Parts: sequence; C-alpha cells; structure tokens
Amino acid sequence: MRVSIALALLAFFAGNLAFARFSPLDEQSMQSAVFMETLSLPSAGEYFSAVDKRFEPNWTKLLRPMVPVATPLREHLALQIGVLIADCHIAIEAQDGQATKNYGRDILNLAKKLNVSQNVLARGQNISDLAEKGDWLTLREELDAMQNDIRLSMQEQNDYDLLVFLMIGSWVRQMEVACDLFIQTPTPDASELLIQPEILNHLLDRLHGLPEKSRANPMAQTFLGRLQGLQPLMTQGSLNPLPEASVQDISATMKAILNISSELPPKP
Amino acid sequence: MTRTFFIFMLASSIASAQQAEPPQTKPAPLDWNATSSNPRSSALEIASRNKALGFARRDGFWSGTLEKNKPALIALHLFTRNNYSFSAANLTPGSRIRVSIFDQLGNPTNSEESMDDTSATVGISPAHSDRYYIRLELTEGDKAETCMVYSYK
Repeated sequence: MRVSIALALLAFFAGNLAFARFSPLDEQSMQSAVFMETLSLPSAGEYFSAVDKRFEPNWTKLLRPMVPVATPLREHLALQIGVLIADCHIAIEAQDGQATKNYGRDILNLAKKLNVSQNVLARGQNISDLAEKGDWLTLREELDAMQNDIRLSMQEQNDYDLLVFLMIGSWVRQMEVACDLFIQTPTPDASELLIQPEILNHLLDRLHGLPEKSRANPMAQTFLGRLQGLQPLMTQGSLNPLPEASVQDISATMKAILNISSELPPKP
Repeated sequence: MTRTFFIFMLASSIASAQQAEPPQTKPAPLDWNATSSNPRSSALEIASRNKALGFARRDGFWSGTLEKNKPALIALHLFTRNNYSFSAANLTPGSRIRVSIFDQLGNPTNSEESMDDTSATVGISPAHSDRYYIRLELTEGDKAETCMVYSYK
C-alpha cells in the first residue's frame, strides 16, 4: 500500500513536471509573443541557406549587375540598400569574392548618403577583407551585422520610417530569386518557402504606420497596393502547396517592385 | 482503492499542468548598446561553439530580465531544411534557464535541450517553413538579466 502511494505521488510530480514543460502554448500567449525585426525576420543569408538546400541552384547564374540609381529620395536609397544586401548574400552563396566586394562597396556608398555611422564604414572594410580571404561563413554574419548597424544609424537619425523600404528591398529580391527557381523546377512542397504571411503583414503594417507625408509618397502607395495583392496567396498556410499560377503572381509582384528600385522614382 | 487514488492523482496532475501555463512577461526592448554586455557575450560564446559545424550567428538578439514564472516568448520564422540553434545565457549565480521551441500551433517540438548553471541551448530542424515560438524561462532563481541569440546552417 505504502509503495503504491509513493508511486502515485511520484507519478503526480513527474506528470506535473512533464506537462508543465511540454504543454502547448495557449492562443493568448502566441498572440502576445514578442516580434522583433532584428530577430523575428529571417536574414537573407538564412533564407538563401534554405533555398540552397531545396533547389541547389547555380548561384553564380543568379548574380546580376546592379548599378545603384542616383536618387534624391531617402526612401529610394533605403530600398536599393535592401536589394543590394540580398544581392550581396547571393554573391556569398556563389562564393564570388569580387562580386561580394562590389556589392559591399555599393551598399556602403548608398549608406553614406544616409549619413550612417562609422560602425557601418568599418563593417564595409571587414566585408572586403573577408571576401578576399573567402571566409564565407563569417561574411554572412558580418553582412547581417552591417544591416543591423545601418538600421541603428537610421534609428539614431530619426529615420526609423526608412527601415521599411530597406526591409522591402531585401525581402522582394529574396522572394524573386526563390520564385524564379520554383518556376524553373516546380516542386509542390517547395512553395512553402514562398508563403510568409507574417513577414508580408509586418511590412504592410509598417507601410500603413508611416507618417502621412511618407505614406502619400507614390513609391509607398505602389508598394502598399502591390503587397496587399499578395495577401490572399499567403493566407492558406505553408502546408498547402501554392499553385504555379500563384507563384507566377508573386514573382510578377516582386519583379515590379524591383523595377521600381532600379528606376528613377516619380516626382511626388 | 490504490488504483483509484493513482488515477485521481494522474488526472489532477494533467489538469493542474494545463492551467499552469504562466503569463507572458513584457520583455525589455532591444538594447542596441548591450553588445558588450555579459549575458550577450556569453550567449554569443556558446553559439560560437557551433561555428565549426557550419552555423552562422545572427546579429539580432533578445535581451531582458527573466523572472521566475514569467517566461519570455519570441516569435520567429524558420525554414525547413535549415538547422537552428538557440542559445541563452545569464550571469546570475544559482539561476537556470530553459529554452523551449513550439511550432506554429503552439505545440512543443521534438527538440533537444541542454542546460548548465547559467546557459541553455536548444536546436531544431523545422518540419515546415513557418512561424515558431521560442520560450525562455527561469527554472531556478528569481530574476536574471538574460540574452538569447541564434545561429543557423
């Protein structure tokens, strides 16, 4: 009898411990979870790492010459920096030291126009040195750190609103690459890489949250319209494969936004 | 009698555990000036041990004060076929941290977990590309400045 009670008590405590540790999260907890842009949004390097395993692309073929466009608009500068950061990650995946250095230099030149801090300039030198050595793993880390330093500089200069354009530029280029690879080699379950509703909704929230003057900017209006059009495609969850036509639609949206990045912006 | 008692105790343990999900803490905002802070340095040092295995560290981090029974929950988007490692650390003697991973539905994932005095590391290879949740909690100690970083490959 005593042994049985002891066993029952043991089961009680062990059960409590196990369930406290492994019980599912409730809806309220999940809704109040912290979402931080520097942590919750995947880096381009992280995304391309997954893309690499899925499609095994020839990264060298995905490199493209991108000449930054002279622009008076700070939003357009931030957008181009975002695109270039994604391009620089592609160069790292391709293990192309010269292309990595070129993109790093272009990022730095644009970032200087936004009066970024000395930290960013130091990162630019590090990227050049690491590309010279072919230290691709550390390059991924350094580029991620450079992006965060640019972000910090923008925040310090009360340019927090510009960050959404940088994030859009990087995300759109990442998605364009993955869409193109999917279209070349359609694999139904690979479409889960293209379904990122939280990221899309976060970018839309940021665009909606822009001050009225910035939101009225034609570039912001175009992005709002284009990105809102993607919402129905991303509500189905990642477990259901996207039809190829939907991937074509996502790809068209990404290419349209990238075209805006590489053209002179319309005057407000 | 004994059997009834056993079933009763088991049932009550399940019920109390289901109610035991502690409330969420509101963590401190991202502290950009904390790059040289000890918990972050310590978390990065732990994450660096994976670098030889090809893991790249993210620059972003969560830092804040963890209190007993007030875990922090962080949402992240993870990709299938990548491997992830989450490392948390503090420097408060006598405290222990647990890091747990939950999937998009809030279910605990089949992940590894390790703990020592002031740090914990947990890894996952996501089954789906989707939103996941990382829970940081103090299992021993009352309060500790904590930092979490992650790496991927």
